Amino acid sequence: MSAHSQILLTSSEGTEFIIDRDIADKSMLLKCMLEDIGEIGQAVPLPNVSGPILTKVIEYCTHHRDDPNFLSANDDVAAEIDEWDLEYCKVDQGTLYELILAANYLDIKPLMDLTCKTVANMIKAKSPEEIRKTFNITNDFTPEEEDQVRRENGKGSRRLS
Amino acid sequence: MPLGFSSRSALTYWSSMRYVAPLTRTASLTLHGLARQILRRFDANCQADIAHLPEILTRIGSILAPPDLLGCVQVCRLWNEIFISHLYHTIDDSKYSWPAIMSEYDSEDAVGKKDEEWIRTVFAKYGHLVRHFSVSWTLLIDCAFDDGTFTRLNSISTSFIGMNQSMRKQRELRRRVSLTENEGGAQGVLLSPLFAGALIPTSVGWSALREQKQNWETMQKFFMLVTHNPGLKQLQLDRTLKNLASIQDIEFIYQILSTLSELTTFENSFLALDLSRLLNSVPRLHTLGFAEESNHHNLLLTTPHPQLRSLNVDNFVESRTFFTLLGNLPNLDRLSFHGFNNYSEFCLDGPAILNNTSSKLQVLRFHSQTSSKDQYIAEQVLPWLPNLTEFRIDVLTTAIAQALVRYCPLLEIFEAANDESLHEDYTNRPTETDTASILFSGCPRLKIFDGIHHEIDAEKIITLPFVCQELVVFRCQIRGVPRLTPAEQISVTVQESSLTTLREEQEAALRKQEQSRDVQQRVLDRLASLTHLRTVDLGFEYRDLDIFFGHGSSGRKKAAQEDYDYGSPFLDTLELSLDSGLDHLGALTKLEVFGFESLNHRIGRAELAWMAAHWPRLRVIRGIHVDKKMLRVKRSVDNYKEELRTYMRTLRSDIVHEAVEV
Repeated sequence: MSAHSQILLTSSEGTEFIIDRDIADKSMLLKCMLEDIGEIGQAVPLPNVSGPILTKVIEYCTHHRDDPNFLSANDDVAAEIDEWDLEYCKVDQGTLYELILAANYLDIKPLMDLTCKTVANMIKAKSPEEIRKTFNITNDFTPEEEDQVRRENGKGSRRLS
Repeated sequence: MPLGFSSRSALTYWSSMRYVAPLTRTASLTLHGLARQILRRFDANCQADIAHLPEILTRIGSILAPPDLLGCVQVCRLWNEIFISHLYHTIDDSKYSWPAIMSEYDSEDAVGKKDEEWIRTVFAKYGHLVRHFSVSWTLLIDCAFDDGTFTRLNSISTSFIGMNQSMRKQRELRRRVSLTENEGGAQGVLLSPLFAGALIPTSVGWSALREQKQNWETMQKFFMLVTHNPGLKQLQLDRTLKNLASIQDIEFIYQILSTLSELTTFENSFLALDLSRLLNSVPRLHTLGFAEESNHHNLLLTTPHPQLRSLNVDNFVESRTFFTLLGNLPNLDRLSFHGFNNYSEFCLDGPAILNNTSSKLQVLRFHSQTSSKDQYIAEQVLPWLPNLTEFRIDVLTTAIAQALVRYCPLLEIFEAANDESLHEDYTNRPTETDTASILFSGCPRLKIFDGIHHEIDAEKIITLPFVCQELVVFRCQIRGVPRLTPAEQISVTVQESSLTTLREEQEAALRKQEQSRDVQQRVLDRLASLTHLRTVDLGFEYRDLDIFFGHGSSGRKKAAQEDYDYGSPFLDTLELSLDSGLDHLGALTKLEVFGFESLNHRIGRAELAWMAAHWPRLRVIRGIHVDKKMLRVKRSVDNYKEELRTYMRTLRSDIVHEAVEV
């Protein structure tokens, strides 16, 4: 297997992308696939990933191309997100959502961790009502249930805010 | 309640798409064929978003901390269902974490009865979700046992049982007293024959007999709780457990431990158990923290125990015992203890005990070894540790440094004592501090040199071959830098004098300045060649005058006479100004921590601006912080430092300013 070989990918709309093999290898899905069946010269179809999202994913993998700690990059949940990654995640919620799905589908763990951390940061230090607003969630608790949830779990909250 | 989201099935399918291996082996499927299969099974109509995908939310739950999880469970039913298990995953009453009620706080009535009721209700409902239980409050032990729902714990740890002098203890006392009053004097009950004759009430820390009986019962409940969790992987028994009951016979501990077939980590400062028996009782144990009492026989092994990987002994160890441990623990990676003790002659039979076979040990840490045993460690111990990658000792002496170079070619991490305790015994302060150079020029794999009290001479930095090109952490003082005296400094800055004698002085000073800059630039070039560096810490301020006060009146007298120029910069250190070549360090693009405490550094605004611009990853500066430590000798606020810190904050608010010892 040559380190400099190139791989052809097709997004859901049928757009073709040519990427270097080492970029493709950042995705465990593609890596396993290419190792199992070899490079057969045909395009690899990615029916679950749209062109714009695939572009974004490739951008991520290219930026972290030579990162020796790629696989453990976002393991530390308490660690700060680095500047480039932070900038990279400044996208609308819909895109972020699709990025998560793509990262999950393509099995790119650091991207999955990064995007989930980004969502977690959107939750942090918010009240339940603010969280609902942020993610457009309907409160489906009955008043009694809501009261019970608060009583059961909220007892220590006074000191926490 | 179950919620029907189509997205759940979609993502579940997606996450199980490690389909490549099985399918490709069964048929000559083309990739397009695969894709068609995926498309058929992919639910294209899912309208989910981030907030409604359980798989994603579960992942996020493990990132969030309790205060945020508390908000999450109140958002909606789906979120409640998902985040509730994260919220109750860990119950730790030693931290100010959720639920704060289980720590100490304003009780709803004087006796805390309502709190107890609430805790019992919550435990009954959610106890099965708890995986980590870290406890110091006896009430929580009682509740966890009584409710019977704590059966799926992965870890239990205890700390400061019955020792907390806070509000909580007072409430606890009141509770126990009220219990005995209201319920007509509840007597402790023997819960299992296991404890008969083994545990008896003790008066330690508690006065009334009834309280003693209560504590005795709590102790039994604690160990019963352990037996209710056969899946336990980690157990930590703190020495303060002894406050609850007196132990007459430790047989029950072995019996309980032998039921924990999953136990891999056991931290025990509670009882001096017999190591050999313990390892036989708990077959999967690989990490062990061991309390060792004054008799050393409990550490002696006679048969090999290949399962143990990590051992920490909370005491000094005899040298013979050390070799016996190495010989019988063939897979031990990590060993730490205080140091070798003086009770008997140093054992010279190490090779015989080891059958002339080197140990596989990778990490050896002496927590408080004093330098008197260095020769023994260098000559008798290190030659048998060719796989050592990490070594810790208070002070690196020449003998140890040379032995590390000679016998431990894989050494990556060296750590010395970095707190000021080293200097408490000021009279014994090691004279050999210039030993770092031996490792720098002899350990090719060295990545971390963490010994801020050690020094390296500027001349040595320049002339010695640095073999450790992958050094990541450099924490060591660079001394012996030729610097101008204040008088010389003035003479090079004033206008040329007309007086012949002064001109000669000025010329001499200028020559010295040139020589000083030359040395400094070459030192900085050498540092800059270590491009992997992430931490460079060059100095340490000796703030703590306890070292003087510890020496009685003579120490105090010295301090009073200001014999020690306390807190002032060392005069023979690097000047880190741009004039003297700070910009040579521009190659250190990975630098995250830069410390220049106690250096005569002449860093000003221009230098900070340079750092802010050239070290994008810099996140910690040690040198212009606020002195938070209470000092025995008053020192005025350093306005210059404060001004620099304010300026740096305007450039890079992301950088933290802290002292070396944190």
